[in-house]
Amino acid sequence: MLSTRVYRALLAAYPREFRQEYGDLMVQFFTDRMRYDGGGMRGLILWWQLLLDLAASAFREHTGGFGMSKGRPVIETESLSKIFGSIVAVDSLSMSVPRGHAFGLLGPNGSGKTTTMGMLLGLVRPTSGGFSLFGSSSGIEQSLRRVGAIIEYPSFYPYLTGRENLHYFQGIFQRGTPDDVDGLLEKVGLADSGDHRFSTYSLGMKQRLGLAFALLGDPEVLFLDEPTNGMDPAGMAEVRYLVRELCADGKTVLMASHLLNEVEQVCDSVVIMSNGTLIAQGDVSDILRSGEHIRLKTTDDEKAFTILSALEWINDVSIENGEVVVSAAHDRLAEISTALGRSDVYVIETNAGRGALERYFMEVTGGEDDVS
Amino acid sequence: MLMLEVLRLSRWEWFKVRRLRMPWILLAIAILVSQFGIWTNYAAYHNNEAYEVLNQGNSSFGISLEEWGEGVAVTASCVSLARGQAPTGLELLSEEDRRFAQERLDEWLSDGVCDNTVPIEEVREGFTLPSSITGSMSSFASLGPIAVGPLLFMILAASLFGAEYGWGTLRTVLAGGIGRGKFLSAKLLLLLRLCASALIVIALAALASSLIAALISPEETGGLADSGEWSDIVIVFFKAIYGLLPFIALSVFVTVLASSGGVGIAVSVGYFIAESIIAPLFNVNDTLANVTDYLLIQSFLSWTAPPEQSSDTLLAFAVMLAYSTLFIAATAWIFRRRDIGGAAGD
Repeated sequence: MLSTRVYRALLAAYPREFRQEYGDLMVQFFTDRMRYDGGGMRGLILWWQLLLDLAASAFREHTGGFGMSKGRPVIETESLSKIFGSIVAVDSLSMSVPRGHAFGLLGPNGSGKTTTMGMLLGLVRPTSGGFSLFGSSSGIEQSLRRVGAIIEYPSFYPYLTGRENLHYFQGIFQRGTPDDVDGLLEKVGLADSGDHRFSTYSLGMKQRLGLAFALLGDPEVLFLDEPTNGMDPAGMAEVRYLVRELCADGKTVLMASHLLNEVEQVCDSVVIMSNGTLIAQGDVSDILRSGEHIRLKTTDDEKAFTILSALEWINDVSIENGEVVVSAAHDRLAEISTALGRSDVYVIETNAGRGALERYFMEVTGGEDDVS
Repeated sequence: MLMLEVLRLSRWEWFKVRRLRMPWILLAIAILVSQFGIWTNYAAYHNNEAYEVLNQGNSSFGISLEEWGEGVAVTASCVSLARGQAPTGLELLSEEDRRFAQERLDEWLSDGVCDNTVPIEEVREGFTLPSSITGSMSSFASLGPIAVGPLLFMILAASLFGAEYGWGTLRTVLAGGIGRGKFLSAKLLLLLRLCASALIVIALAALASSLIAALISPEETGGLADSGEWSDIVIVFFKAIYGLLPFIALSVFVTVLASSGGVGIAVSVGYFIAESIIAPLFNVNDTLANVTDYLLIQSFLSWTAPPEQSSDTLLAFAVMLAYSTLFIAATAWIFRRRDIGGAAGD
């Protein structure tokens, strides 16, 4: 008769993520078999069959292999910190990037975005804390084979052409095939200049080559650090469209940027950093809209106050310095105006006020980016 | 499995390196220097003035005797004697005077004035197969007059590693999941392969030159391939690679430590020059003189010297092994721990 240890040994041959997810179920099944037929050879075969079925269905269900079910974080950091001498570049950063999301790392220059990416890519050793990629906190080299990245500034061999650079990296990373290179150059708009030396490229072209490089081998996760730096407006729009397209294909994108509107246009979720510290984390629109308000000058402020206070979707109304201050999203202005108009109160002047976080971001970036 | 991966990465390193101009320029310098030795020997073999230059001068002997009422001058030089030529005027003398002149000549020679004259057979070996090949490889991988091998490979090693820091490409490579240890190993392996390739090219160039030399004046050069042993080529080949390894390791170590190719070249070449100047000063004291046996360049000199001139080859082998191991281990330790930044523009 086969013992429980044999079943456990068989189970041990499966990946850790699989055991974590299905181990208890399998042992339970085995216990049941023991109860009914003594756990003989027939039980073992059935048990094994079930194990294979579960493995197959797990692969079908999950897009990225075991432990990578949708919604599970692809990247997780826990109190991640990096100190360079006396400078705290990243301070106890805890964040989690869900699969299939475009995730923004937003912050002014020097806020720790690139250092964070560097740590996640194994280029910078964390001073303390930890992180996991694809649910694994060890064997980062293996995990990185599923990641495409451009960090800070696209760095390639200046004496090689764009095509040769991609061939080289395709070769050493063993991602995709050499035939993919032409398609990638086409995709990023470098088909005509692929045979020019990298040293002759403009910054925008270098960024495009960086994107092609990041896309080598169709990686599951992309790290894009300021991917639109140096690009003209058309190029920026192309990159933003490309990122959205990649996310629609199920890819996860971690994009660092100091441009608020870029993150707003591209990302689903965001972490806002300043001086290495996480200021806010969550859904982009929720974060940026929180604290948003509208200032109104009306024909009858007292009456407007009464009418608007009665509306359920308005959080708060007050009168300050001869203005009615309404806590509501900017895009609800038309509804507010309509509600007031029905009671013969008319809006004379409006002023859209930014959310607290957005105001803060404008301050620390020197108002570099205007979302209005 | 790990070795296969390193071999694969090393092949891709060659993909990059062969498109650089620098290695080809360094190879051209190496070939020119090694060819210089062959053709200097060829010229010296065929021309007395060139032979004198090769010997860094020529001492002459002269004696005047009176024979049948006329003065007869008997002259000889180290070079003419090395060529096997009899002293001039000797044939005009009587038996007795000839004996007298010969005794004077022997006295002159006994002072050791011609001891440093390169024998003409040795000059011939310089451009005749297979010793022309071993000679070319030895002159490349020894200090010789300008120490071309160690210097070129220190410059090449620092440049290849330093460029990765300067261009920021190291970050691009490592961010793709290439292990640091594997990448470092692949680079070092590539440098050894380049070293081997350079020696093979030098050997082929020497082969071609020897054939040309034989074709130019076949009646004078004698046999085409009758000097030395062919098996010596293999020994010299591996000795040369082993001899260059600690210099490569030193240069890579400094480059990785400073994350800069410029610093790597400056410090490693600087050390080379400094040891070359300082080590002879150690000979003023016996204790200090013993220390020189453990210095890198002195060990290299012992290692690459011909067996009859080398005092302790085994000690030299051990010292160079220790230096190579130390530098490579320190490099690996630093390389695996150090944060990798962006382009340094070095």
